[in-house]
Amino acid sequence: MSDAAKPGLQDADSAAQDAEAVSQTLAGDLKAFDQLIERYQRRAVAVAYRLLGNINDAMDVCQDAYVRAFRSLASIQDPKRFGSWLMRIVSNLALNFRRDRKQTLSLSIDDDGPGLSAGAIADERTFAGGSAAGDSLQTSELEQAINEAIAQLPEKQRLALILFAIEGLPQKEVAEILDCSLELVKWNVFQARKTLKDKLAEYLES
Amino acid sequence: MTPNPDNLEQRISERRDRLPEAAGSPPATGPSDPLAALIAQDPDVANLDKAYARLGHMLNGWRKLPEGVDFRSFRTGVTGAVAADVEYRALQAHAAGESPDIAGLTAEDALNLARAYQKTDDAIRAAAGPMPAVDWNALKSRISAAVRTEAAESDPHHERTILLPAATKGGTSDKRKHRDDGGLRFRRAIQRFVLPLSAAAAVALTATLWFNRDGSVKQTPAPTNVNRIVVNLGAPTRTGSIELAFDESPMTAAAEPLPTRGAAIAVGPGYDELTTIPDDALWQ
Repeated sequence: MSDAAKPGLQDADSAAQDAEAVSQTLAGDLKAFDQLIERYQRRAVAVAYRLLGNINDAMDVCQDAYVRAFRSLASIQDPKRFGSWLMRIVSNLALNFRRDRKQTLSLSIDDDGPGLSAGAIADERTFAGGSAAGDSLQTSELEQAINEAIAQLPEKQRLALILFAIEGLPQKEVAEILDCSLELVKWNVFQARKTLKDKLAEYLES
Repeated sequence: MTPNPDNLEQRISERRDRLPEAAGSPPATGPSDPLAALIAQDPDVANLDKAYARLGHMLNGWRKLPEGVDFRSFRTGVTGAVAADVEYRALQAHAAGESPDIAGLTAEDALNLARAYQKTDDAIRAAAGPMPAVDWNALKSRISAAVRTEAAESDPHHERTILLPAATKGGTSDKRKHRDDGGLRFRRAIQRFVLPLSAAAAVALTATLWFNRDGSVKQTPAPTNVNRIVVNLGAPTRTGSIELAFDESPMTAAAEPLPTRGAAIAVGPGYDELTTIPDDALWQ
């Protein structure tokens, strides 16, 4: 299986393989790093895509994350947890990318002036909805509603929800990625779900 | 005991998480599950459970990776980016005289890498050929002249020749028309203000020279019986020439004859250039 097992990134076998690949890479074997790329690429791109809503942006962010991981490989504290470590880099870069994109959008709205912001607002909706150019332009009303509701969640809640409730990572690994306690992960996931349940009530009733 | 509603809701929302398979799968039910029993008894709790179940189902389908993502290209791209990063950092280390200490590369590896890049640079230079001969002095003069011109033109006191646009012939584009309108307004302003002022100045000069033909400046008060010359010029309503005539009656203070004509200033539509009127043109 090319990617890490679905329920969790690091069962005992894959953790040992990760540690070995990290060690070999640090010794100069770049092919060992290819194994790490192959093992986590799908997970990394999926999380980045959930956060950004654009597959090209997601792949760019993930490539950047892998290069950064490679540069900092010597600083990894526990090579067995390469997967969680990489996902933390991916998450941070994706969130930074999203913030930068939003800031750029905000600046362009300011430049246009208040009277010309309708188009920019539409762009922001598209951005929040994640249906940027290249993706399907026919976003259903429900999908749009989910996009907007999730986009409005606080970052930690959004990330916890995506990693745990959607991607299915174990809470322990989510806690490692988010660098917080297990209880905080649970709390963030619950808060996110509760908010979504209220905002999407009309779609959940029937 | 009444359950804490928030805590109950959290437990219901997490009900499906306990299953190791995947979120959104049917939860375990049975007599051992107190939540299941509560859901079965209380319709409100049952609705809450349904809502979270639907939410979980909706989220599982949200933003799934599109079909056909080319992970092979992605992997190739990442591998290439990593290799480029290794080379870049090795070259930097070599340039700094340090051992690369990157991906097992030795100083010799970095040296070989630097040599390979040097060969590439040499090949590019060789392909480009030698630089053609350049007349550096001519280039220097040319640049210097351009700089001086630029400096002079940016000086607000720099004298400039203002070219007035020639009369429009035939059809004009909007841009040209706009420019012509500007020129026309400028010319009208000249005709209305500058030329009358010039005429007044000429008259004053003529009078002064006439009264001081010997070139001296007389400080004594003018005799009371000298004829006063009053020139009153309004803005011309049309172009043409202004003729000035002076009272030719003899003056008591000066025995010399008066000139029959003082000055003539031509103002006509053919002015394409604002020029300085030479002094001797005032005397005709």
